Amino acid sequence: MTQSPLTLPSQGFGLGLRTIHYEEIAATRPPVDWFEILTENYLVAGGKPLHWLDRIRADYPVAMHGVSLSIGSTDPLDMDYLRAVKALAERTSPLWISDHLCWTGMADRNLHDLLPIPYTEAALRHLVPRVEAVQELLGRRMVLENVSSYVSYKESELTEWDFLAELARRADCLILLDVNNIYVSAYNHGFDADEFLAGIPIERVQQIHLAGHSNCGDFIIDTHDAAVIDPVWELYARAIQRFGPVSSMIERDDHIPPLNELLGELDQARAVADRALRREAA
Amino acid sequence: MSGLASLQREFQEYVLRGEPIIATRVEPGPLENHARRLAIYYDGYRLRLIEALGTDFEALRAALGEGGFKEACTAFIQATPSTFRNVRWYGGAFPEFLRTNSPWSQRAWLWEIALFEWTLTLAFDAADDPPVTFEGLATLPGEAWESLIFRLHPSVRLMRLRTNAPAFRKAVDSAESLPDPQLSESFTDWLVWRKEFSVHFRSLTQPEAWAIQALQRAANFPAVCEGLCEWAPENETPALAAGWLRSWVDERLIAGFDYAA
Repeated sequence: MTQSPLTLPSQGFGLGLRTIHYEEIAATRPPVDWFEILTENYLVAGGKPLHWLDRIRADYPVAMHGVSLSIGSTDPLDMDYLRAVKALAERTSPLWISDHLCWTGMADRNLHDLLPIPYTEAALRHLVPRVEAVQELLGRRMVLENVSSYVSYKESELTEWDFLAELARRADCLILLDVNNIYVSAYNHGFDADEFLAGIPIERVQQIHLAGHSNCGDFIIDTHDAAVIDPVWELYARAIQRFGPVSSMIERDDHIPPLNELLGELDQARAVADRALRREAA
Repeated sequence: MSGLASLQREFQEYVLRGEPIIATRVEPGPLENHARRLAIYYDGYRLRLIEALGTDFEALRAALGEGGFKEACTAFIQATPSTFRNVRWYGGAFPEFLRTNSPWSQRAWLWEIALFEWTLTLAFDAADDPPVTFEGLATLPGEAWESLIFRLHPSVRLMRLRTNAPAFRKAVDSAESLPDPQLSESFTDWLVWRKEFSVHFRSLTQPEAWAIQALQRAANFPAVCEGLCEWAPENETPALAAGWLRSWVDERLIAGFDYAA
């Protein structure tokens, strides 16, 4: 008997949906396979954001990507937030719902950042039931993304990839592999990005993120304000060789260029993935 | 407290207040520059909140200048840790902070600009509610007007200002130079609302402001007409109210009505 796959098959190549592109997307219906929306931008009562979301959703599938689930926080899960996410999911029927493997604050404070978790057995024990509770409430597997980090903790017992893989197995959740974040964190912490890829279970990778960053010399900051750089494209190619065709998208959150420029970058992603798959088949 | 909770508390204390205890739990990193790496989180918190405030308070930013705006934001951020999951709501307490903290409190127009701009953001993503049309009103039976209650669009906000704060926002929106601040002895009433997807604002005369407030209190149309006797002869108030009603429908301020069947 064959097991049904854990992930949706590749949905092709997507872009992050950004306000400045709303009208052009609705008017021109560019060749993008799907859009990723920032969940929090649409957790509002009404007005322009929801209007454009509905318009664009009529033409494209969307994936929901949150930044404030704070799955790693030691605060209780925010049920009001989760119910709002669920209501948005009912409105958009997303391909999947993702957020980050991180914490964003504790004691009712929010630091509006994706903060690293210590990679310990205790943290895993804390996370697993929380991921399960979120999945139960949303009625689907969560997709969790590896974040860029600038510090690591002395108390960590596992590598980041072993931690992520173990969490995905124990909580039965999926992975959003941010290739740029792997590159950034590998640079910042001095690990081998290919070792990271090799440690990730193939069957649990639902999506790949690509983005640009800022190199400050002795460390890199994940700024999403520039084009994807060549070493990240090369890492992406190796990821595609390992994981096969995976829904991939480009994130740009600052210095957002005209849509055409992003469409060109998305074509580059298609070409890189295509070459990687042909190399793999050869 | 668990190890994870204590780590998060120490990390958070560092980000919010610069308390450096967390540094003892952080790997020095390849170049032993962990202080600089931790500072990415410290600076990032402030930069993100300043950016969010800059989006919501464009006219205030213009009125204060980049340096002055950053100074005001930094003081607010230091005094007001974010409790919001969504950064969109962080600026809600900024106007009050400016009203009650020196040196900003000495310039009344600053906090009024902030209050006005925050009100615009509330209208921007307030709930949708399809507007009542003239055709809808025309179908009402004559006796309905005896008990008719109008429901305002959820985006409608009324505010009283003593300064020319809206002129600052208007100048910024149309890329014109900023006006001189003006502080008046008396208040002006302002209406803020969303028409389709654009946020609008206009000043109100005292009787029109009173009438809209009456609608907010769910007063029926005859009661609104009666209340207007304070400003106009009794036989003129129905025409006055009917004239406004036409504008309100045209401006899409009215989202529903109800009457005793």
